Amino acid sequence: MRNEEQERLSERDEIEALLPWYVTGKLDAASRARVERYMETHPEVKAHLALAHEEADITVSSNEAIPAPGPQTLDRLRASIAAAPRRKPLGAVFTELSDRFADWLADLAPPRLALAGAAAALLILIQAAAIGTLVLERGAAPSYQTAAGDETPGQGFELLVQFAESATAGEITDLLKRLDGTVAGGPKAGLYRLRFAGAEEGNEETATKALKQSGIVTTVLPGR
Amino acid sequence: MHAQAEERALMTAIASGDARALERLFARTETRVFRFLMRIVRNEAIAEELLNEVFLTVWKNAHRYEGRSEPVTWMLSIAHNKAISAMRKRTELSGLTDEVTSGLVAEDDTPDIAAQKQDKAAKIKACIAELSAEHRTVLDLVYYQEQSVAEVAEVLNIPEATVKTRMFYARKKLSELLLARGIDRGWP
Repeated sequence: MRNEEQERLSERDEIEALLPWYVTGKLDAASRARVERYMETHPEVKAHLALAHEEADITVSSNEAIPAPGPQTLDRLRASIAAAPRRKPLGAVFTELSDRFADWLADLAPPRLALAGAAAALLILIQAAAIGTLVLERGAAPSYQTAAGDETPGQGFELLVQFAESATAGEITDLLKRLDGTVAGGPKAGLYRLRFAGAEEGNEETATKALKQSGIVTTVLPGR
Repeated sequence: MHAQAEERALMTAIASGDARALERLFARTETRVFRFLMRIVRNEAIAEELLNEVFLTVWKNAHRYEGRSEPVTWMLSIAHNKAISAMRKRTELSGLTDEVTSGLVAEDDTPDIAAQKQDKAAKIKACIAELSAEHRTVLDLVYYQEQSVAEVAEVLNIPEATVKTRMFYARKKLSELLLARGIDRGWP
């Protein structure tokens, strides 16, 4: 079949090939005029329109004989999308994140602040391991998908980031999830390479600002 | 509002996270997409699984829909990719080629259509079922899904010239199969 498809059709064969679209009314004006001009001088081709109509009728009836999917398919889809929450646009995420961070700081009374600091200090020890896990998870689960579900490397942008020593693994995970980012590599000289999916203009600047305001990032540098 | 314009509006709503818009698009198009999947994979359970995957992909990636084609064409493209991937996995597991499995299905169909053998339409239907998946799919996309040359090219991710050539050979093969069953269509 592959060799057949490389062949160039004769004019006659190409007209025959276009007849299915002619009978469904899906030819563009130029192709439609071409088919009609050809049929005027080759009336035998006009007779072949009946074959295309016959094929169309049977193909449609064969498809319509297939029952519609069961009513459970919608429930199943609802369950699937509930388990796969949508990404929010980056701007909305950053606004929400900065608001929540401000609220969190405002709510902290001094003793709780001290306790949070102590807990964060303990978690520093596992921060590097946790980020390492994020790198591994990235390899196992593509972070960005095309319409066909395949990973699309190179989309979006990257930033080089140094996390605060007080940053906990949970905070880092939560931040990356909210900003739709993944750990692409590092650390090198204390910097992790983060990749973000949003490719729209201005997203990099917004992400940089949000990272700096997150409270768990000390340095943000442009990536590649 | 025109149906296609409504579907485009639904895509915009889905891209902004409107789950009810996804349900409306699902209600409008699920049967079309399901039948397209069924004609390729020929298994109801697999087709339903893939149907769910198609709409989940729409949900996750609606923001990537650029409106260069109709939403249905975009969804059929997703469905085709998933169906072909599923067929490849099934072939790898069973060691059977598509042509062989296609033949087996045609054999399975035989008892159902045996009583209708006198009918020319039934013979054409049986012969279409015997076509390769690629040939069958191009017929379905044009005659049932009513896709243009350019839209078929997008769904199958092949050049428009290849779409026309594939259609030509699909119809030629159909004539050959019918001739073997005693029906001379007079073409090619």
